[in-house]
Parts: sequence; structure tokens; C-alpha cells
Amino acid sequence: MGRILLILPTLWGAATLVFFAAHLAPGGPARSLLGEKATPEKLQEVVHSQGWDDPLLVQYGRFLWNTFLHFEFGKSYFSQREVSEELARCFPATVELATAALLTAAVLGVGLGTLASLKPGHVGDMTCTSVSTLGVSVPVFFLGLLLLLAFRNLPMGDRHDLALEVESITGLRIPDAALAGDWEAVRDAARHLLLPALTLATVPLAVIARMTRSTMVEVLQSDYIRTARAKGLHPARVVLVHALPNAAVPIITVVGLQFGYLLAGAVLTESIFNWPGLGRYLTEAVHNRDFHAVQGATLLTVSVFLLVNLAADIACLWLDPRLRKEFR
Amino acid sequence: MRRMQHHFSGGVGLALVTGFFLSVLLAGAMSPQDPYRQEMEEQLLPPSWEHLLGTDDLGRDLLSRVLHGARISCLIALVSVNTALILGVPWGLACGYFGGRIDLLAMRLIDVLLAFPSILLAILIMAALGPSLSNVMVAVGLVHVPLYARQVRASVLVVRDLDFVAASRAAGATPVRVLARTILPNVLSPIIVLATLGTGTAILEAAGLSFLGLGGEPDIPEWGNMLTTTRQYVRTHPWVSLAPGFAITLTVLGFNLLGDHLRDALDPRTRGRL
Amino acid sequence: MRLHLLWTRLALASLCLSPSVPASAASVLIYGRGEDSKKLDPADVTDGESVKVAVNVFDTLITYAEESAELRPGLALKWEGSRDGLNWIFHLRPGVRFHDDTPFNAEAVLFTFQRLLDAENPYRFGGAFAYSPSYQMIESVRAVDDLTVEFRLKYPAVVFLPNLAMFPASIVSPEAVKRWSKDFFRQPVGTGPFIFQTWTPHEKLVLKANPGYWDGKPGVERLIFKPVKENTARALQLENGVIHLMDGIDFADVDRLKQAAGVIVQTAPGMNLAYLALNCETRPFDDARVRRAIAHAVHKPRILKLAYHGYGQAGVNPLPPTVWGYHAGIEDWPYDPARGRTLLQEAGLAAGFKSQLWAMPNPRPYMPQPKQVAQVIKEGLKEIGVQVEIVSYDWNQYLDRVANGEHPMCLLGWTTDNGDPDNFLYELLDRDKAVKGSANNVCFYRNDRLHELLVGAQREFDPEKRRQGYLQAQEIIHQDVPMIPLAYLPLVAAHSTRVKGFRLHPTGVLRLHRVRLEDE
Repeated sequence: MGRILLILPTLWGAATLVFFAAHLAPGGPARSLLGEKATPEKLQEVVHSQGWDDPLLVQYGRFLWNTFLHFEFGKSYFSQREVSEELARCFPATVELATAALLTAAVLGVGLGTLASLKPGHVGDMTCTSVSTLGVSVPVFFLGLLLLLAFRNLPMGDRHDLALEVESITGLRIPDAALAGDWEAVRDAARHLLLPALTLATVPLAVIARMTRSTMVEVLQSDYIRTARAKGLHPARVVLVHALPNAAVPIITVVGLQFGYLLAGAVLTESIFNWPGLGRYLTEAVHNRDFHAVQGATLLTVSVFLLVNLAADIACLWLDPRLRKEFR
Repeated sequence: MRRMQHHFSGGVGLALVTGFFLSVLLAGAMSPQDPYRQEMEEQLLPPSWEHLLGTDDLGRDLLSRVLHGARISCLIALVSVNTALILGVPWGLACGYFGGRIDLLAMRLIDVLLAFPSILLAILIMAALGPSLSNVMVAVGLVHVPLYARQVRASVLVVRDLDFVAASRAAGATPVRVLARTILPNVLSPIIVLATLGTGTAILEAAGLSFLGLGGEPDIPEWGNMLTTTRQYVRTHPWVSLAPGFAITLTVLGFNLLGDHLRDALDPRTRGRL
Repeated sequence: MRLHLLWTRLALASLCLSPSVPASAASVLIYGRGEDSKKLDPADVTDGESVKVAVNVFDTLITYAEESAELRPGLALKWEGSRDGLNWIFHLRPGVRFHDDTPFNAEAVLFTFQRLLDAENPYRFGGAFAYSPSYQMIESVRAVDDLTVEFRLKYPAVVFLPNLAMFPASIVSPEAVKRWSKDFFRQPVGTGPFIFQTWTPHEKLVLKANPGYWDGKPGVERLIFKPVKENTARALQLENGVIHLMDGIDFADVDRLKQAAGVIVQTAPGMNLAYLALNCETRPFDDARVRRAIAHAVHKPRILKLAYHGYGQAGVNPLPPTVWGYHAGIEDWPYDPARGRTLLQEAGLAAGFKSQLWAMPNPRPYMPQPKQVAQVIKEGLKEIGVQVEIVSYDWNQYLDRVANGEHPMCLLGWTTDNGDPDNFLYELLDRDKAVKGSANNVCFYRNDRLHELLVGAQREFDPEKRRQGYLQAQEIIHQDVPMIPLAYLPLVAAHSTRVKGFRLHPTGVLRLHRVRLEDE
């Protein structure tokens, strides 16, 4: 339970950091937004309209108040729209991408790790080790370009064909299209999702594969597996029915922890594939030095990251009673 | 078997890192051309004897640019790793040695910082500082500070109460002297491992920030910068992306393998087991 | 392992092999362009990307012929001027309705112009009105009856009618402006062929057909504007059928596109100019010798070859030869770094100096590859000892900052609004236009003699005398070098063979209601 309480000061710290980052900018936020030679009138106007002329502590209080009680971050200076409104638009795109990547990473990672564990030191194991070493060394953005090169039939970017309009219910493109019964749009969305998801999946795939391998190696050496083998059960049955479920807890924990990484790691992937999500929104905002947008996008990502990690911890406790005892 | 594999990968790492430093040192002598020189007749040429890696969209020789990119990456690594060391090591030393309330507070701060995914923290710092290559170096360095601080603190906790430290203290040495002369030398090896692994990470993260267009002028032959300014050609003229892409990959791989090797070699607990 | 690979391959194959066929019955035209719009309130924009959308949502009283800048009736059926040219009566088209179903009438015209002309108007848009000098001859506007409007001018002005055909004079729905007030820029309501639907910044801007349009129902059901920053990426998307129509083509891609199956490349003479502006307000560019030295360091043939791939023509004057009044007798300052160094020496800058060169981040119709242009200029300047750093901002911010005079040197360009020389010379170099915050004269060049000539020409009805005025003006500008004209470009657009009825317009403004999209 301590973990839940710990998340609050962490969130508060993150908010503080995000708030003061804007004010650390050389010359203050208005100056860096408008440039060196902005006229005093224009500067004054912006400072006033953004509320930057109040004492810093008042601004800080207002920022915390609006952020945590109203989920409001102010207006984006460039688009003149509410940041929260824009975040609501971008967030589902990132969630869809991260979910697809997580599923890919989990399926491939567990598969690869299991294969590697069957004969440690042999070809499957070497493959697993190389894939996981490469997975953390190849930059995500280069991998994305390589995939674009390898699969020339798939789209270069974007989330869907603009001509196919689907009513937004969940904000997730594939479920929306499926709900509307528009299979054409479902397939189009899947085609667009495939490469970004594969790109984003590499790092977590490497981590999950390593974890699965080491856990499975341990499980496979245990007595009951030897017994099962001795009874003459089919090897595939031994692995899938007897061993894998027993290795599940640590694997699920790792998978859960990766989701948070995926949300943040999406920044680069979204930039490669022109994916209209939170990460690309943040990048644009940083380019424009649009501080309200930067604050909103960063805080939303960090909060989700923390909450997801917390959820993964709790799920793990719930799955494994042994850990529950340790935590007390 | 494992041991051989381990030595093999350490060797590969060493070879890659050596290659990296060779291009840093010899970039000037080895590049066939000025990396900034544009030849209007030679845009987007595929690799040939004249241009071993081809040319980019402005007719610049890619081999020369990739080689000079090594220098920039080396600079990035030097600045950011040193930033992280200069701020992180004293922080960790002080926290570990003195303990108490300040330690608690400082560790909470580190927890908050580590709660941020690193790329997000780096982007946030870039938002405050503004886009430029030197700011990228600083941002990457700052992001790594809490990692170093935490590692150093943990190592200090191990040696703090050992006899030779107590002896030094009893001999009347000031805390600064104890820390610098007695404790620091004994926590050096984890710092070296961390710095080696951190070099690869720093190059990778800096390239990522440049890829997002935060690395300042587009003509700087920084690898991430090169990838982002020419990525539209990936399907029509792939060599333009492949050259800088593989340069980053191999360099980062080299530092990672070498770092892993050093960790295993320097850590007495794992030495016997492999 | 193998099994997994097989599975992935199968999954990939099923996705790759079957080509996607747009199944929807409604025809959707996707227009790929280099940047997103800034705002959609026609009174509050100056950039081409915003205008591109505005002209499809709004109408003006007077409009252009389909393939020239000649004037034709728009929302006004006919008009007549008094003998002294000071009173103009416009008879409005009856039965036209705005997209919000309110009627178009004299009241709406009145509302539109009051909003433009009166800075204190309660429904005024956010910023200053950049085009206000283009309408400053208007003394008052009066509704004679429901379908008749009278304009009273302060002085006779030749540019009055052409300027009414320009997009800032688009007639807006008074009800919508009142309703959305400061948000009108993202909820535009006009009488045009397309109705604004949604706008997701940086992703898409969707218009739908106005079935009751007075000039006939548009040929497509929906029109989507899609920003794709990189030219080559956009060209690839056209080849792959992701978009149907594009502008901002890299000239390097023209030949490939011409060969590509299913793609048509159209070219037409353009009325545009790409230039390097020197900020005459900042040191050392306040010295004409320094500006001329810079002119000697800009290697235009190299720019044309490297960044325009041989298309286009080297710039000499601040207006293109396709516009009447172009001074063909002026000889350009040649590329001559030695001469440039001497001039710098005379100006006391023998050691050279450091400065910034601003370049836009994205292609413009007059400059498809701004970064390449900037690179060539940077290298030329190095030859005369001037070290520049290339600086770039997001396009919207770039325009704001440049209009604010924050740059020492910047790349920019201009496409005519109405085909008149006044729209180049007065717009880009008159002192009236050098107001910080809304400047179009981003050279911040203030020359009283030039001002007299340009304002005189605005009130001169004899075409030959006007021409003489503009020739003189160009000579002054040539000597003073507030800007360095770089290139004049033909207009190029490419579209899928499915697109029918598409024509380029010399003003670069594209009204797309006659365009159709045929089935594959």
C-alpha cells in the first residue's frame, strides 16, 4: 500500500519540475516564446494573457490547482486551443500504438524466450541473446527506417487513409472501425499500425525475451518438470502446460512495466511514422516552445507512466501471494 | 562455452570502440572530402569507388560526414558523461557518507527524477534550454546525474563502515579528505562501468534528440541529425539513411558490449561464476 | 522460432498484398501540401497555406477569371463607378446563403468591411490587419438597399477593384463571427463552394461540398488538406495514391513524377518571387554598401541549379517578368566576391562580420528547398568574410518573428494576390508596409522617394504613366538593394490521373470546386 502513497509525492515533484522548467528558460517563458527582439508591448500582452506577470508562487499554486483539480493546462499559444482538448485528441492514438506494440512484444518476447530456454547455449538461445542485445543497441528511429525499407508495401506513415472516415467512439481507430462494421477501414488502420507497432516493440521485446528465458531455465530444471518428462508427456505439452504457467508471474510483471516505457518511447516512433499521438504533439510543442502544451503533454505521460507501473505492481502482488507477504 | 562467448563479445565491443576512436582521431585524414562541401552535380549518388558510402541530397560525401559524425558523437559523450560525473559523483558521495535527513531528501529527489522516462526528462530540459547541439549534450548529461548519484551512494554505503575508512577518520582527516582519498578510489570501478555503459546511452539519447530536430543546425554531421534530415529518401535512396544509422548502431553496440564485459570483469562477485 | 517467423510473414503478407481500394461512395479529394494553415479567418492571414483554404470557403465581391488575373463578377453581379472614380455601386447576387443558412446581403458586406477597416470594431480578429493599406482608400461603405452597396473612396485608386478580388475582402457571415468571436479563425463560415467541417492541426483539414453553391455544386464531396512537410515524401504519397493532388514539388522529382504511372504534372507561368530580405533597420545592413556587397556574394546561377534544378529564372527585380511593368533594362549585380569584399572594406568592415540567415523550415511555392538555398548563400557569404548561422523556426512562428523584424537576413517570397505590380512593389518595399508586428516589408526599408512614386502610381489612371512610375521605382530599388531577388518560378502541381478539371491559376490560388475525381 505504501507504493500508492509514494505516487502522490512523485506526481507532485513531477508537476513542480515541469512548472519550473518553463521558468528556467533563459529570459523567462515569454521571451523564449517570442524571441529576442519582441516588442515590449507584444511581450507585455503575452505575459499578461498567459498569467506570467503574477508572483511565481501564485502562478505555481494556480498551476497545481488547475492541473490536479481541473486537469487543465491553459491554452496552447500557437493553436489557440485548450491544451487539455488537444491532449484528449492525441492520447488515444498513442494508447492504440502502445497497446499494439505491447501485444507484439509480449507474444514474440515470450515465444523467443521460451525457445531459448529449451536448449541453453544452442542456436535458439544464441538467437535470443543476439536479438535482445541488438534490440537495445539499434536506435528505435533507425530500426523504423529499416522496417520502412524492408516492407515497401506498407504506408510510410500516418494513422489511416484520410479518405476513410470513421466515427470516433473510443478514439482508437481499429475498434472504432470495427464497431462501425467498416472492415475496409479496419484493414487500412492495421496496415498503418503494423510498422510503428513493430518498431516500438523492439526494446520491450528484448527485455521480455531475456526475462522469459532466465525464468524458464529455472523452472525447467525443477523436479516436477523432470517428473512430467519422465512420465513420457509430449515435450510441447510439458513446456506449454506445465512450465510456462509457473513462470508467468515474473513475466507478467515485466510485461506490465514495459507499458509505461512504451508510452514514453512512443515519442521517437511517432516522429518517424508521423503518428498523430502525444509524442509528436510534445515534439511540436518543444519546437514552438509552447510551454502550456509542453507541461500538459509531459505531465500526462508521466502520470500514466506512474499509474501503469503501479497497476503492474499491484497485479503482481495479487497474482503471487508469496510476494504479498514479503511486502508486508 | 559461456565464458568464451563472453570473451568474444567483449572482444567485439573492444574492436568496435577502437574503430570509433580511430575515426574520431583520423576523421580529418581519412575523409575524402570536406563533410560540408556540396557538389550540385553529385546529389544522392549511390555508393561507388569515388564515394564509398554515396552522397546525400545536397551532394555531400557520406563517408566524410559519417567519419566527422564520430567526432561530434565523441564530443557529445565527453560533455554529457562528464556533466553527469561532475554532478552525480559528489552528490552520491555526500549522500552515502553523511546520510541522515539530507540523504533522505536527496534520494526522494532522485526518485522523482527517475520516475520520469529518461527521454521525456531530456525533452523537458530541451524545452527549457532551447534547441541546439550543446544543449542536447547538457540535457543528456543532466538526465544521467541521478543514475550516477544513486550508484555511487550505494557503493559508498558498502565501504563507509569498513575498518580502513574508520582508521582514516580516526587519524583526524576531514570528511572531504576521507571521501576523496579513501572512499572514492574504492568505489571507482562501478563508476567506470557505469561511465562506459553511459557513453553508449549518451550517444544514443543525443542522436534521438537530434532525430527529433532538437539538435540545432541541419547541416551538422551529427548522426541523428543526418538521419532526420534525409529520412524522406529512405525508400528511394536507402544508402543515405543506412550510413549514419549503422554508425550509431555499431558505436552503441560497441560501448554496450564493452561495458557489460567490464562489469563482469571488475565485479568480484561475478568473477568466479561465469 | 521458425513457426513464429512464418506466422509473422503470413500476417504481413495478408496485409501487404491486397491493395487498399477506397470503397466509400463519396468522392474525397486529398490535397497534399507542405504545411498546415495558420488561421482560417481570411482577414487575419497572409500565408499561402491559409489562403488556399480560405478561398474555397469564402467568396469575394469580385473574383478572377479561371486562368488569368482578369476580374469577373463574384458575389457582386455588376458594379459601376462614378466619373471621378470616388463612388462605386455594387449590385449583389440575390438568393445566396452563408453556410450557416443566414442570408448574404448588403448587411453582410457592410459588416465585413467595418470589421476590416475599423480597428476598434468589437468583432475585430486577434491581430493587426496586415492588408489594411490595401484598403485604406475606402472612406465609407453604405447599404443602399438589401442588395445594393455603395463604396465611397478617399481618393481615386486604380487598385481598388483588384484589391476587392483579393482574399482579405472575403465576405464573412456576420452571425458566425458574432457567435464564435475570437474562435472564428477555426470556425470559418462563408458562402464559398466548400463548407468547413473539421481541422486537426498538423494532420488534416476537412471541407465538405456546399450543395447549394451559386456557381454550381462542387465536383467532389469532400476536400481534405493534408500537410506533408517533406517534398519527396509528398511526391511518393502521390505516386502511391495516398494523396490525389499536391503542390510544392521538388524540381528534382519533376522528371520522375512525369514518368510515374497515374500521375500528371502541370506547369504554368507563375507570378511569384523568391528573395533574400536584408533588414535595413539593423546594423550593418543599414549601409547600402554592405547590402550591395551581399548582392555580389549571392551566387544565383548556383542556387537555380542546386535548389531549383534548372527550373525558374534568376531574380533581378522585386517583381517577376510575367507581371506588367517589369523593368527589363536593369542589369543584375553579378556574382563577384572580390567586389563584395571591396565594398565591405569601404564600409569599414574589412574583417567581415557574423550574422544570422533565417530560412523557413518547409517548402514554399516560390522556394521548394529553402535549406539548400540557405546553404548556397551561406557559402557565398563566407567568400566575402561574412559568417552566418542558419536559423529556422516553425513556419507560423517564422512568419510572426519576421514580421516583427527579429531577423538580420531572411529568406521569403511572395505570390501575387491580384497580378498588379503594386501588389509586389508597394506590398514588399513601401514604408507603409514596414510596421512591426504585421510587416510585409520585412526588409524594413523606408524610402520616401519610393513611397511617393508608389502612392502616385496607385492614384494614376493612365496605364503608361503608371508604368513609368514603376520603372523608376525599380531603378531606385536596384541601387539601394533592400532585398536580393533570387528567383521567379513557374507554377508546378502534380495530380493523379483520376483528378479531372484541375487548372493552375497564376495567382497560385486554387479554387477547387470544378475539380472532379474519377473512379479508378
